Amino acid sequence: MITIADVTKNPVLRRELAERAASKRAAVAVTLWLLLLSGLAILVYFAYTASSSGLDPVGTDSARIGKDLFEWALFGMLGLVLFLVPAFTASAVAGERTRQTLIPVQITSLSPFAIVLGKSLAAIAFTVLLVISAAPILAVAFLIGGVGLGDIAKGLAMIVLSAIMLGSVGIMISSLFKKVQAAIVVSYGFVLAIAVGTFVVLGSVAVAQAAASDDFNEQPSPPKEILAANPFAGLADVTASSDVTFGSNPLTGIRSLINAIETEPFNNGRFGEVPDETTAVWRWYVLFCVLTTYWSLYVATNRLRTPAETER
Amino acid sequence: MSDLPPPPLGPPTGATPGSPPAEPVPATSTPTGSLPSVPPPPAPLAPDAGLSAEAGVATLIDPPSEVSTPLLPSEDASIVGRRLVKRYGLLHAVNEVDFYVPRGSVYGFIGPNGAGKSTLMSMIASLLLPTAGQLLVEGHDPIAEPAEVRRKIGYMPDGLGVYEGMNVAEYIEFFAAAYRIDREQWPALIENLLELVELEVKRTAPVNSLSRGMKQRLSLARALVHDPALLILDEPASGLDPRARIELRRLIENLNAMGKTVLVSSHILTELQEVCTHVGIMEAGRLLASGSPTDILEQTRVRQRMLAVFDDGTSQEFAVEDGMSRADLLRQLVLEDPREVVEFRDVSQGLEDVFLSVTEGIVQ
Repeated sequence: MITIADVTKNPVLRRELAERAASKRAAVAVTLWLLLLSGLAILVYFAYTASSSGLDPVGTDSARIGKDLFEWALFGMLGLVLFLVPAFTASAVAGERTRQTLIPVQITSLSPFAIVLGKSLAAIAFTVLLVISAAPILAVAFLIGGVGLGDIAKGLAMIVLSAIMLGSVGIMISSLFKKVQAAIVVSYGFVLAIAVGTFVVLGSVAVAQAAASDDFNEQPSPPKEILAANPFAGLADVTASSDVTFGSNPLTGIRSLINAIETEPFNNGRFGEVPDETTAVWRWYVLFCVLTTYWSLYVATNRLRTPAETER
Repeated sequence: MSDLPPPPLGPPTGATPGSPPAEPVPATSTPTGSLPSVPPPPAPLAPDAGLSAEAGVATLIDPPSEVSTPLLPSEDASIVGRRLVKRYGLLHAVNEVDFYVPRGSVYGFIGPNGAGKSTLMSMIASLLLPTAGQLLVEGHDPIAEPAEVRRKIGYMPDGLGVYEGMNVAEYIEFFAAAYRIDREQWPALIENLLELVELEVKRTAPVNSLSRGMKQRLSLARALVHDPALLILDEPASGLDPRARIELRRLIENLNAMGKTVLVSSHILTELQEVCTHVGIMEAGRLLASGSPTDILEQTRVRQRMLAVFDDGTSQEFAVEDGMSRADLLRQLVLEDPREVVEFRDVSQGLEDVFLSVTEGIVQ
């Protein structure tokens, strides 16, 4: 059982946070993060205001701009989290091995789980800091309109959950490899597999089903469970608001895809149609995150357990 | 004179031209070339010399009992290992090693790189699982009770990894927290440790700015944070300059005087010779000899070697036989050798000779 003291007094967590806070890399990461997200928000805002000059700026169009700005920001945040977290975690254990600092820690009274927990929380804490620092951008979208506080909370929660899952997986991968480079490659391979690979698999299954189906209009939907591992699908689904169903951003596109899958039979003609019964892909994604996090922490803890068969 | 063993006289192999004609060479003599400045290593001892591959693998202070009986904690023993084996596939990194480290001793593992010293130390430090055998460290089994073992040992691996962005005091604080030492004790602990390893002036210096010798001493301070009874130092002197080595040796002596048992490894004999009360010689995963240096010298029957320089310019090395003194040897030379002895001196090198005698230069 983890107690609060395990977390607050965890020397590994404290040391990692202190090291991160003192490093220039952290400052550069926060700056780049905010610059990229602000740049994206400004681009989206100007794109809309330029194209909708003749429309009512305070009514539906305003809501549409706000919603789109919000969803673009969420998409950008999740994309950056997927890009940054492996970079934070890949060296967490493998780097200590390379620097020869792991054994002195393993030989202390700290349990392997305490080491893994400290390292995971440090990576996650920094990601949460990034997410919180981007709150003003979401606040702008909220002010423009079309976005509820609930949507903001759900979107941020999904990004933080993704960060926790990715952080844990990153620590596990880092514990499995002796070299940081290998851990980085495998970590990004994992991100690519869940973020892009799931769509590729879904598409391949749909194509295979279409080829097997006699009637194009009666083609069955590919199993939506494939999207359970996709962070973008989880984010798009959890922020699906009944108020504003339109928009032109990647999350809207993913939502249309989920709707199409949930509508039987599956074909292009039914894209954009709202299904009678919605089954939440985001619930599957939450389950995927919880199980993956648990399993990753378990594997990483075992990997750091000593005495071991081989020197780790 | 009649009861003396046959005089170990005989011409050197490859003696200089003009040396006396060849005479039978006694088995125990170690003839050398004519250059006294470069004495060759003594030949490996014959099986009957007390160090056969089987019987002589370890001259133990306390021979182990049968494997079937469990090892029992003893007041006198800091570490007891019995038939300890570590295999990696076909490689026997540690092969049937029996050893005993008395409490309060400075025990030196000597052996070439790859002899299995670090593997053995990792097993003692509860980091590595033995393939077979029994081990008790400060009365605890490192496999079943790693936490208890870790509370009693301080381990310094051969790598000198330090964290970036920390100063010396913060580094020790981190490990004090990792050993769950009360925060109130930290200031006094840091002060005492830094004083012990003579790093007081570097208290606020970034750890990665320290010299290798200083990092080594800081690692030692780190290993001492929880006041362990046993210190395991893996190749602590590697890469240190002569001054740092002397300081390290002094530090080991001080720690031993404080009552700590020190297990230290090195592939350089001279580093350990002066500081160790007990020595274990390893090669190719086997412990070839173990005990106090004098015991080993006696039990391995490595004889004192004397160099005689003769008036004809030739020189020859002689081993001092059991039961005879250097004076006896000189007397024999003077009375029985046709040449005149112009110089007679000791060229034996203690443990180095033992090491060369018992090892064969094999590294797995």
